[in-house]
Amino acid sequence: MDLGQKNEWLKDFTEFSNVTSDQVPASAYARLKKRLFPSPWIVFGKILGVHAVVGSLSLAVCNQFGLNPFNTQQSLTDWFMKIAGHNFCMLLCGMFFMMTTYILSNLILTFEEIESVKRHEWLQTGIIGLVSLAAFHFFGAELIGTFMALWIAGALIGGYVSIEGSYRFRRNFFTV
Amino acid sequence: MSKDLKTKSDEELMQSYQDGGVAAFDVLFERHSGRVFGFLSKRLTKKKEAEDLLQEAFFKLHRSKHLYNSTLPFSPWLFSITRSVLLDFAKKKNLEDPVDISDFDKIAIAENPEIRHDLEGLVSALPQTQSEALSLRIYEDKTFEEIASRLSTSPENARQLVSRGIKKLKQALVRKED
Repeated sequence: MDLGQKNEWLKDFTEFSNVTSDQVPASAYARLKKRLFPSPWIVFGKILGVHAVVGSLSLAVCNQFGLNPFNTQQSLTDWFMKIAGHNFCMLLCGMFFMMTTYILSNLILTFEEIESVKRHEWLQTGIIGLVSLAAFHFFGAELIGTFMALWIAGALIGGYVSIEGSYRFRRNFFTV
Repeated sequence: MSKDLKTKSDEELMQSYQDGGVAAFDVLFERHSGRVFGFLSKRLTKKKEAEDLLQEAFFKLHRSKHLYNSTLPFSPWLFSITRSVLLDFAKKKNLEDPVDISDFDKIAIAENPEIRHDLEGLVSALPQTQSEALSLRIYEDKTFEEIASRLSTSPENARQLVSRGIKKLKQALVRKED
């Protein structure tokens, strides 16, 4: 900033500091609030929609509880099982299942919506995880206590990591 | 709105907002929106545009809250955001650039008596109302509202008179340099 620009800035700032306040229309505040803090329910609905599509498709690359609707020959599950054993495989499968949803949600959610998800990340991830388990059960998966708990733990970790990652990535590279 | 928040300074509120305290935003908006709106209304002719830019300024504040350093005063930061929103708007709308204050400053700070004399000559050569509006703005540092009331016209018209005058002045100066 050269001297001329500094003077200009100072002149404007003095004017800004001394300006008489105008009555702000209530509608402006309401619209701004709606834009900055979108309804968590609507955002949750969107995430659920993305999850239904992405979660189903992800079964093609990573079977969950033996569900393989696309009859694929290769699955990440086999690799997880080989490198980490059955328990760790459940944890990794839960992580993968949730992370794909949140990462791909970035394509349709605004930064403010991601922020809204972040405010309720544990609750939303927990509910989505439980709904997914219920869906697996509905489609014939055999759910066993310990594996289920490990899968949910993985889903929560995956959800947390991907939401935080998405939030920081977008905040630092795509907001200002 | 929490009573506790209302007693906090702007800088403390921003810190709380950075940490996720959404309620802090309400207090900041309540404290500063009137001033931002007043500043924008003074520079824009349509209330609707000022209202839109007010929203844009606070939206930008929200999106860049992580960049705010709470050890520095809040007011200049908010002003910088407001000003950049206003300048972006002017660029986007490709306005006639009616409030290019740097032009006024360059003219006003011209120390060289020869240049000043030339300028005065050029200003007086403009059509009467334009010359009067420009003189009030440059030499007497009047606002557009004041110029408007002096010339019995609207602030929008005063702004246009000054803007067109500046343009002509610039062209005349370029011709003179050539």
